Amino acid sequence: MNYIMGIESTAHTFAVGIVNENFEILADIRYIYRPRRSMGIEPREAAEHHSKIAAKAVKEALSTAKISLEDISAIAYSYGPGLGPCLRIGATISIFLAAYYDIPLYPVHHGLGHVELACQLLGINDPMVVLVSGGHTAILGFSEGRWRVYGETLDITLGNLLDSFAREAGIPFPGGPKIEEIARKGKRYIEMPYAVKGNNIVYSGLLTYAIDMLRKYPLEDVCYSLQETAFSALVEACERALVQLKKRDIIIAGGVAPNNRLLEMMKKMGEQHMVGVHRLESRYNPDNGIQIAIVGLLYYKSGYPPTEPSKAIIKQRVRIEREEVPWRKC
Amino acid sequence: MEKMLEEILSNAKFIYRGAESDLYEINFLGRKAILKWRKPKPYRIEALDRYIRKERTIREVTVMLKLRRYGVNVPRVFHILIENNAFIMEKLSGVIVRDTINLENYKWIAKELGRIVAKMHNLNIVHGDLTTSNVILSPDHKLYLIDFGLSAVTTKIEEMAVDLELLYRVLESTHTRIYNEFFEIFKEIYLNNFSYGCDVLREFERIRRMGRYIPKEERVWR
Repeated sequence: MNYIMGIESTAHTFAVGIVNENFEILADIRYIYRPRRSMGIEPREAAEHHSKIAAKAVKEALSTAKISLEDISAIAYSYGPGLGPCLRIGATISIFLAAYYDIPLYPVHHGLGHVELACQLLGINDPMVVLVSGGHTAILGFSEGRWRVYGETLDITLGNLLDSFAREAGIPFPGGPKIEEIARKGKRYIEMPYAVKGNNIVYSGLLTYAIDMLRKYPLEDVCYSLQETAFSALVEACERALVQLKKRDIIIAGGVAPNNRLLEMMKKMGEQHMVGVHRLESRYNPDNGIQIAIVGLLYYKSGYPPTEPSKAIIKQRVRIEREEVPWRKC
Repeated sequence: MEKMLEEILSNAKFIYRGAESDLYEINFLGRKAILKWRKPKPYRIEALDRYIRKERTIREVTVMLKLRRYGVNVPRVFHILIENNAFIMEKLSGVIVRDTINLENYKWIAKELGRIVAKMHNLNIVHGDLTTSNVILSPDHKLYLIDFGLSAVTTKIEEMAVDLELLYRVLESTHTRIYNEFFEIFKEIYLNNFSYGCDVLREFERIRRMGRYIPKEERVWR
């Protein structure tokens, strides 16, 4: 039996996941760095947190899966995009393990992990993926060997919008779920800047405006209006991309995917075009090690050449379109 | 007013569901015509939905009338049902450029499109959704622009550059084999026909590098 270990450390989560060659999940260990109150992630502190628990997490994952390091057939790590100091921790550990135990090493694009994990677990082969998280807000479809971006945010991401707003409004971390909860009490819609440019969306103006409205209106109404405006714009962009792409399924993936209002809106849109809307169970939507392990497994199975430990790198900025996807045909 | 839409719809043939609106083929005073109806979107809350639909319908019609007046090929507008966010326009015969573009005709399409877009920008109008699905090739060999739902009247160079950026991206992702040459030809004609073309192209280069996770050496912002 082949076992693949995936190590994830792009932002606030340090996670180790182990899967076997039949895509069964054997271990899913996560440690999440919590920023100080009313602050965002401090990359240096997050990296420090990761470095302290990294060895523990790897050991825990191995004991949960009831295997030893000698049984591992390949190690995959997230090489980007993400915060430099954090990425470095995951990469260093992976490179060390790969070099010391002579295990094949695969650098994995973090976003690709979200996308392929969702496709694998949901068993959907050719969907349109709406990747919404703190690092991505992109509408993706597979075409001619790559996952192509058919629409995306031109400035900040949806996760970033919600988190930054939450910080300004004094909502404790994690901001997204709390905003959703508060928004349910909102009644009045405050008109906010709604910016769709073709298949792309723009969020920074909305953020500034929403923060501004905090002084004039109750928090519930601002949260409600913010969610409605931001999601409407995203769903509209998705609808445009969908009509263009003619896919049969939509998958919502990434850290904002657990939001039920977003799912509801996307489903209503999907119904009109007779398209199914899916998402993973909530625990697989935030960053995790499984998503990296799965992509590692896919590389491994397709016979993709592993990376020499001496040549393994991290990249803070890398677009998903640049990733080769050897396991998908057409 | 409500009644009128109902009456029209009772004799209408549904033909296409777009991202924003439904299209029906109808008979308007003895002519074949198209009814474009922005239906309510169930996913948007009513206040937001009403505002967006109204604004876009009015803008679309205004822009089409202006373009028509200055000789850009767009469908003729026959009638507006303002209360229903719908309007009636001429039915074009022809094919969508996305489905018909090939290695033989793409050079001509690129030239013609360059000329049309330059003319439109000259009139301070941006299309807002300039994709190959929104250009129609008519049987008498003319290109028509359609779907002005996201258009705007503006003098901003940036918004004009957004038009080119979207076109470029669509070409890149849907017409993978020819996009480079297509865009080169398009650019040349566009530059020759629009005096601010250089500025728009400079801005285009800038916003093309605005997506997320562009490597540092290619980035424009710090």
